[in-house]
Amino acid sequence: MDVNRGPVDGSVEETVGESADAVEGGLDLTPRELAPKPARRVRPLPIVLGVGVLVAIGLVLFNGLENATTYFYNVDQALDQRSKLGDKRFRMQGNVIDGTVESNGDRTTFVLAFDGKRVAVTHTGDVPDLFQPAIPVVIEGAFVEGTTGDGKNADGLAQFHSDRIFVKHDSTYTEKNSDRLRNAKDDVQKEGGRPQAGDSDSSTP
Amino acid sequence: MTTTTKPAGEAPMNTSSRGTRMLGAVTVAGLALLTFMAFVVTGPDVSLGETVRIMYVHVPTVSAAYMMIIVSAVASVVHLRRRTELPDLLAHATAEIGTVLLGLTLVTGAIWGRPTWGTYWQWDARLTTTLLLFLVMVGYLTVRSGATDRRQRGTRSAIVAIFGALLIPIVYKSVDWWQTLHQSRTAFGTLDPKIQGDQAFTLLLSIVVFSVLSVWLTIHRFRVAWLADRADDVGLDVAIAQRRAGADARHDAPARAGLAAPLLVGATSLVATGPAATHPTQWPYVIAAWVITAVVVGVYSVSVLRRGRAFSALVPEGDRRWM
Repeated sequence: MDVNRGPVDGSVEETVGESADAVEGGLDLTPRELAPKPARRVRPLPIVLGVGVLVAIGLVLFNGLENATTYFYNVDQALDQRSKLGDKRFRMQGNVIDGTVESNGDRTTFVLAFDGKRVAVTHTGDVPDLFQPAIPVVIEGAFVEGTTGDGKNADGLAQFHSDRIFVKHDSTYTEKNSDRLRNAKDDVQKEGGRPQAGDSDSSTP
Repeated sequence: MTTTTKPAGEAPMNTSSRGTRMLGAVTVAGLALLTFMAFVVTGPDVSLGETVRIMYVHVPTVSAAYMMIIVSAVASVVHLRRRTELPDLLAHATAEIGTVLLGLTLVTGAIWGRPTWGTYWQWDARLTTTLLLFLVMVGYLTVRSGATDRRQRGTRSAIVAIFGALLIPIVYKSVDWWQTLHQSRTAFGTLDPKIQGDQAFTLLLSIVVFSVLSVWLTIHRFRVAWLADRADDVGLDVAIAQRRAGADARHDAPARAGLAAPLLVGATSLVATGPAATHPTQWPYVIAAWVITAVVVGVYSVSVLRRGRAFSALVPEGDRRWM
């Protein structure tokens, strides 16, 4: 791959290949023999970088295929697949029902609903700053045995234990002079939709 | 944008021309107006609070990045068909700018995600595909720097640029096709925009300003690419050119460190304050996103202009007469 770096051959090749008109007249070419043009050499750094980029792309694809295609189930979908999911960890989206949120130390309980289906959630750990009733959230965890032994709690709701909460901000922006209520189902069903009619201020602290 | 005043008729020793100076002035004025709109005129958001101001740098960086990558792909197609030099150089210029902007999109998005979602990163479809596109564009620059001759350089990089642009629709539609933590589209592709008033105007302004900035950068970067190849053509001076480029790279090393440093400082300070405090104030996130954007855009612009001056010194005057 390398050009012949011999004193005579190298300089002749350079002259013919690259800069014939710049050195016309048979000038003494000796000085350039000290600095043969290195552009023909394959440099190692781009190859290392290229391999690094390919590995990174591979990792991203692996993670993406693993996670991104079903990033979460909605509450109703999760309930439908309850037996299949077992105690597997997954993410679930729903609306935090107003009036069901209770905090006790780092333990927070609330009811999560989507499309009329409800799940009782016990969360341990940090809660995001924007967490509040009547907003859509994505929680990460698994179904657990409920108090009644059939996977349900005293209210007959399936019991879910989460240890991570993500607030799912919707695509609507409103300056702090008008208020609105957000709804996960609305957000999902009306992609490209609109702010809900009948906005109320129940989501504003 | 420093320009050495030369008598008329002499070619400039940099990549500036009357057109770029005007465009540069418009960019600076636009950025000033955008900052004023984002921090003074618009108020906090009902649910997001102050962090909504991150939107005015997060969204325009991605829109401008898409624009740059699409231009790069179109130029690449032209280059593959015609095999002429200028489309190849335009593809390179726009790809590099698009990569920088998309990197900013990822960083500002992560900073915005922490106070909004409660996490810097999640492997949802929008975030994952955006990272994938960024890596492909880094791959473009790597392929280019690794090529051994110009024909190979042009062919290989063109294929990567076209592949990158083909990913854009997937990134864009990912929020519709899959369930994502990332929100769906707000203003574009919807008949009924979910943003109004000053917020909508400021968002639109930010997109326009970053587009103008990108065009200004493209002209300079395109001329740098042209000068770099001309300098390479001057076979007699190859050794000297490389010496100087090496010296330049050493000069640029602090600038490159300057590019990375605020990212690291910002990231570490956020990591340090983030999970520990239950209710951290929102302003550090807003300031981190804006400062990082300003520093990266500023340092990158200066590096383009510096490269232009360095190569100008190596290139015959006839090759530096800009339109």
